[in-house]
Amino acid sequence: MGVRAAWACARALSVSQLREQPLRALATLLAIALGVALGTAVYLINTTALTQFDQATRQLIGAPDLVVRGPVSGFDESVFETLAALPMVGLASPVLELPVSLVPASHPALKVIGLDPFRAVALQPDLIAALEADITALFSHDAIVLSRAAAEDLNLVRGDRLAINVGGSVQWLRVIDILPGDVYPEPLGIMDIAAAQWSLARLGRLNRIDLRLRAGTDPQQALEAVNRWLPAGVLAVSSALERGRASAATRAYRVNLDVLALVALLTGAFVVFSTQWLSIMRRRTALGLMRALGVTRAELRFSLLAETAANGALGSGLGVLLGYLLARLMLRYLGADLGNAQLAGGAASLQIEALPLFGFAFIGTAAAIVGGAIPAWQAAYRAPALALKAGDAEQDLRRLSTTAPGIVLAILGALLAWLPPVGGLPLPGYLAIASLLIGSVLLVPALTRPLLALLPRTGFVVTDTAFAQLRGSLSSASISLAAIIVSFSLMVAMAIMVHSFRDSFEVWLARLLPADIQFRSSYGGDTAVLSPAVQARIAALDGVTRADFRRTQSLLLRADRPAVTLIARDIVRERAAETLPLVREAQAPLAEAGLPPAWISEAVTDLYGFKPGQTLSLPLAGRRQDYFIAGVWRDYVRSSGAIVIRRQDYIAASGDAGANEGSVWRDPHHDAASLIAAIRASLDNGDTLEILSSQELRELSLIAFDRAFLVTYALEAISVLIGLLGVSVAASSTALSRRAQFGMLRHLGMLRRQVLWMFAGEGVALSAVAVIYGLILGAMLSLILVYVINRQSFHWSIDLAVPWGQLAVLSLSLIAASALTALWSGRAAVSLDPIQAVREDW
Amino acid sequence: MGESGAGKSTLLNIIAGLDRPDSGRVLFEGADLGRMDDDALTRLRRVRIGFIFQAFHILPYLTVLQNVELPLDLLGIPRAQRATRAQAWLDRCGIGALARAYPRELSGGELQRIAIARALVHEPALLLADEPTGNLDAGTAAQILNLLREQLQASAAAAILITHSPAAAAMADRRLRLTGGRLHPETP
Repeated sequence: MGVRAAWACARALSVSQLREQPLRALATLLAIALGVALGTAVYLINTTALTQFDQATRQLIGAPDLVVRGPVSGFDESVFETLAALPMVGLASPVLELPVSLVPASHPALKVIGLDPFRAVALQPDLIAALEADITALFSHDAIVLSRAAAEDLNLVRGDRLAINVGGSVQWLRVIDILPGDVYPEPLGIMDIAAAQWSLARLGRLNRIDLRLRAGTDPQQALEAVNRWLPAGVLAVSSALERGRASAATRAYRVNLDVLALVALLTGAFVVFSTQWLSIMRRRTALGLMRALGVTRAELRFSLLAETAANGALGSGLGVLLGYLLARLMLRYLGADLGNAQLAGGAASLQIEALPLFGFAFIGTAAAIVGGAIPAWQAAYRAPALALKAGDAEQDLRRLSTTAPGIVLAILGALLAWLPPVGGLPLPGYLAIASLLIGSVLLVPALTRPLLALLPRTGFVVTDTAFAQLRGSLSSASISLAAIIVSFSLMVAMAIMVHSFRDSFEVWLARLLPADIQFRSSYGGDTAVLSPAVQARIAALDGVTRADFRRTQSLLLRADRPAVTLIARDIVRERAAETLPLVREAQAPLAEAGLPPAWISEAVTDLYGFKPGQTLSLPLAGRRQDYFIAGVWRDYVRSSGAIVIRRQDYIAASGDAGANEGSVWRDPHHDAASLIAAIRASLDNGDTLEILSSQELRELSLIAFDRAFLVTYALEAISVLIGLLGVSVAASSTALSRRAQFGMLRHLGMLRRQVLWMFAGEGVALSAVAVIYGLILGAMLSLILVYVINRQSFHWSIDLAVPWGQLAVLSLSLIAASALTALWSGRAAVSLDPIQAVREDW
Repeated sequence: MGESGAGKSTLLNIIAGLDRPDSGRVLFEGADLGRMDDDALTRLRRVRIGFIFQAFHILPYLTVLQNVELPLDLLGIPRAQRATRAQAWLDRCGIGALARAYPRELSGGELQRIAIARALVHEPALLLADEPTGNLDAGTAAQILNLLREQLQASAAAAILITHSPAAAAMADRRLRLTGGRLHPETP
């Protein structure tokens, strides 16, 4: 192949391309740029959040060989003495790691780590080295060192005092130092272990022990040996597993975002594909001329590929730049958690590495090349003599039979949807969507033919010409259709999924919040509890008809899984369905089980394999306690799993009669505000409780829901934008290639207006077909999103609900947008002098 | 010459290596086109053959000069030399002043002059012309034929011309008529 000749050919072809319609070249560029920008932005934010998360975890865990973990409530410190005396243990460091409840209660809890500085210096060297103050100052019972992020969040400086809630009363800690910002990126407080046990009312309790093994000890053997010495609910894990567990909790959410970004990138590639195909079809005579003038097939192919590659590279470069800016904006306004409270962290700075950015630019370029490869191949193999004859480009396309592969892919997609997740991720589900999408696109010509046959003969020359044109150019029309169908069906699927989720979430909220007033003693903290005396006082308040109290805490069931939430609450066994949104109940008669009941969330069934009717063994207060699984309930808050048990069973097993959440039903004669005031007044310090009416809580929850889906909405909107770019590119391309026809119709006496309406009518008919397809395909895809991907990612079920109104608006806007683009690009084509238009046989 | 549908264009395409015959051989400068692969045929066209079409096929978004430069560009001739040679051929075809113009502004006669310049600019051994005056009026057609004859003589290239026009046919040294798939000598 002569590279020079190929370049000469590429020059001649692309110069004419660019001159012909710079706006269309720009639209193609933008389509790929937007796709790459999204991928880059989501990637950058994910990496930033993960890096920050990882750095925090690494600092906090440090360099022990094994980590012994117990429930938040802790275990007896005699375990520490036992482990420290084991021959294989070189160094043991006792730790108390607690989410400390702050005052006011509405402030998120502060993670506080209490450690022995002299032992920790070997295991968490970075953290200890950063303590600038005299280390002995830490030994004071009320001394705390804050990370920079915590100090900024709480608006505290060295010497200030921090109000915390311990067991319902306010305690004050002294901030003796603030760590430099680069040591620990998230909010954290560091205390001496003895001071923490004293100040946080955990005397004699630990919940973590870091172990360094003697040199030459096999870690696996040591792990097994250590585990033999541990009480129920306390587990030893390797520090690598401990670190991994932290990021595992958010993996599904991140993968979902990555997939959305990928969808945008692929839609961009598809737009490039259809643009390139249409532009090659339109230039078929020019390409034929090139072949006649002595350009070989390989040279022609190369020059066409070079054209798409240049488009792809330019678009991708622009996309990476856009993605960087987008990531900065999103970090600034949404934070690294991207609206997902599960990932909450401090302020993050964008992590940028050159290699992944090049990677994205490369993926974008490669996508463009792949998109342009098939049409380039086709063009090179077209007989030049035929191409030179002005005639029917349809012939080339008709020969491409797409029906059989389309059917195969559609069936494959339907089958893939039934497969279980791989590595905890719904990968077969995603593949099913991809396969269904591509399959249906391939089936477009076969399915559209009968649809177009249904178009009536109107007797109006303008519409009849438009319809006839559509029937005659079905194969090329299919290519423009495909781009719209892909983006519209994805939009429909996501709209149905999000609406279903929101709908189910609202129903769920109403079920879970039947009381009038909700309160909690801490936002995520574990040190604040409402004593039985306070509970009794609240229940006895004038205007309270009923009061329920709950004790929630996290519980580690398996070393390699995130902790589940244990909820002990007032619940009547026979009427559990009135209190919990149950999805399944045990078939066996409850009385025969003889064990106290437990209701597990769907995540617990998915992650641990428990089923109703089975026995569940929970570690409580250092002992194993068996429960009968009475049912499965739906929980939209804790995707790591939650278990509900009766409060009386919990108190009997643990002796802990405290509560940290509750609900109150009010007498209709009392208004909510005064009752809230009365509850506050009944406490020693009103700030130790966060109290909201259920109405307020519902509203806040829905706001949080929408915030969590903000990024999804944004990604969806950009996919649609890319699709619309595709529509406009296709319309302008078609308008251009039909200039001669338009000129001919004007010669025959069609008014300019009529030609325009004819073209717009085609656009409307075509997009109406795309909308029908998109709705059907989108509905199918939404089933996979709702029942497969959502369930496998988050382990909660949702009920399908179709947002009819929203879909109608979306459909009409798409049709209107196509009509407008058709009018706009048609106007340019018609504005050409009809004499010249007819003469230009290109 | 021949009736419409007799196979004149097909014959021309076979000679150019754009199409393959069902039977028979095409010899070009002693080489059998049937034994060449597509790339070899394409290179042969690039170097040794020039084309003129009835529908002109001038690329509308390149200037007149760029259109004529195209075959030289494909041969890898440096830009400066390319421009000089193309301009010289435009001058020879009487449209030197139009070098910077775009084809859409030009008449059919002017377009066909560009096509002639483009077909001969790389000094091919053979010119293939498929009804070069088919889209032109009689006066313009006569001018184009004269130009073509002059330039062919000047460049010592052979030419095969397909035409319906007796005037065009009269220009040829040898006239053949294609009927029933066979070529018969045509006597004037």
